[in-house]
Amino acid sequence: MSRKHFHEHLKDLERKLKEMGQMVAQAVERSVEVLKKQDLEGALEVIEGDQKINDRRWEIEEMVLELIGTQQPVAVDLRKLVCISHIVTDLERMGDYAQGIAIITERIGKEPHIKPLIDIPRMCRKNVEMIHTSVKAFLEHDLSPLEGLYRGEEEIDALYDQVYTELIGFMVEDPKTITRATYLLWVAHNLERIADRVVNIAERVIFLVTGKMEEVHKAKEERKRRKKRESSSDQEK
Amino acid sequence: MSPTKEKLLSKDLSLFYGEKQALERIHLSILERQVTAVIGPSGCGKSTFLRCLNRLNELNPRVRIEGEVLLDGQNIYSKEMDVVQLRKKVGMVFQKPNPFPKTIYENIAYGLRINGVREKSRILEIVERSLIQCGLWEEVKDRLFSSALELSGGQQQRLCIARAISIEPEVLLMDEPCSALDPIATYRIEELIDSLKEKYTIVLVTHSMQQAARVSDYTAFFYLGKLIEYGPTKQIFTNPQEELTESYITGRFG
Repeated sequence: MSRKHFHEHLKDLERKLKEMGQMVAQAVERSVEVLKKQDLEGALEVIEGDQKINDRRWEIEEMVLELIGTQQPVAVDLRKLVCISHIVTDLERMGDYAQGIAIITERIGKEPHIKPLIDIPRMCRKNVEMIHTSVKAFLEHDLSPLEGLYRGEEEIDALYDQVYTELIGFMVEDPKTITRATYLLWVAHNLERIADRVVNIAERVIFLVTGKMEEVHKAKEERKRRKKRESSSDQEK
Repeated sequence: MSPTKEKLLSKDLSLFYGEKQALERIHLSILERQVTAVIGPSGCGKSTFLRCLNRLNELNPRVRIEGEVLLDGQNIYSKEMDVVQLRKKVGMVFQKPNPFPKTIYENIAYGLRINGVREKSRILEIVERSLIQCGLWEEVKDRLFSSALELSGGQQQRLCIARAISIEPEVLLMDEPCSALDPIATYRIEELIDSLKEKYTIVLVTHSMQQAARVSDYTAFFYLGKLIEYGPTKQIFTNPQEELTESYITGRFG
């Protein structure tokens, strides 16, 4: 394989990664759609469709392994290959969360939802947008969308807190809703986890572009704690 | 990778230098229009093996060979085989660039003339085509009649490859063709190998396993005169089947 072919292989790998991002975004979108419509056939499609995502992950990992093993990539090429191998793991796990939502949909069956779903689809839409954005940022070596991704993840966290409080309220008020409310809580939790995985991809974009390994979550948690400390000291005053 | 035809087959090939056995029953198939790399520590027999493929070893009177090497099914060690014809079909590029101390043009033209090409315009045409194929034309077209020894090491090696392919061989044997070159000249030769495999079957002996990994389609690992493992390069370098291969390519010995 010549250097030219090596770079062609890298391009091919990037194309496959882009497609995998699209597959996962579609699975996430579809999982909440079938939950909302209580479409059990659709749920089965999402569950079975996860295999394609898993296969794509192994395919990409194998290509990465081959290129690292035979082409001695260095500098940005090496960082890119290592990042891709991490990103496909994150994407694959997002696919599992989507599959999880479809399994919950099956469990809920035709029992009516305890309330119209509003915040959960909102979390889903935000996630789908963020998956596309993060993969695009990686492929374009672009740091500029990352700030938006962190804000998006915080937005999803806030929505998750809101759904959580609301569902607990239902359970306290009417214990008959506990099972159905718990299912929806799981769904919301899965969506919250997907956003965390998007932030992992953002961290890989930083590493790809700058070579620095930064944990965005840590910085975020620190920010949250500081905010809390400040607000509690304000209250004390 | 699409299945390809077997071009060369080394069939239970053994070679002795006097009493000492240097190759032990090597059974190895070389596929057409693929790059096959032969790797292994110094003294493992890789260059000896390569030289068996166009009968270069028999120039040494102490050498005895057993077994067969089939080129397109025909044993090159049979009495009917014309060695001159064989070496026309199986060209060779050596470790150190060895251009003739003549002009760039003459380095290629000479081989053509002894192979019966007489017409000047035809010779010029082939010289140009061979130099283009080796990516050297642009660099030397204005000084074809300068001495080849004025070229850089990398250019000289590409000239030697141009010389080898000018008579249109079917197989190109390369014995550590980059060992005397700097990394950039090495990359250029590797690019060249990659483009030449469209037309030729290439067997590359290299002491750089990284080079074998980069340029070859198949890799054979030799150790102490034995073929230990042969397989697609991708497999050899990501998941070799033999412990010995694994130890060698991971740098645990050798």
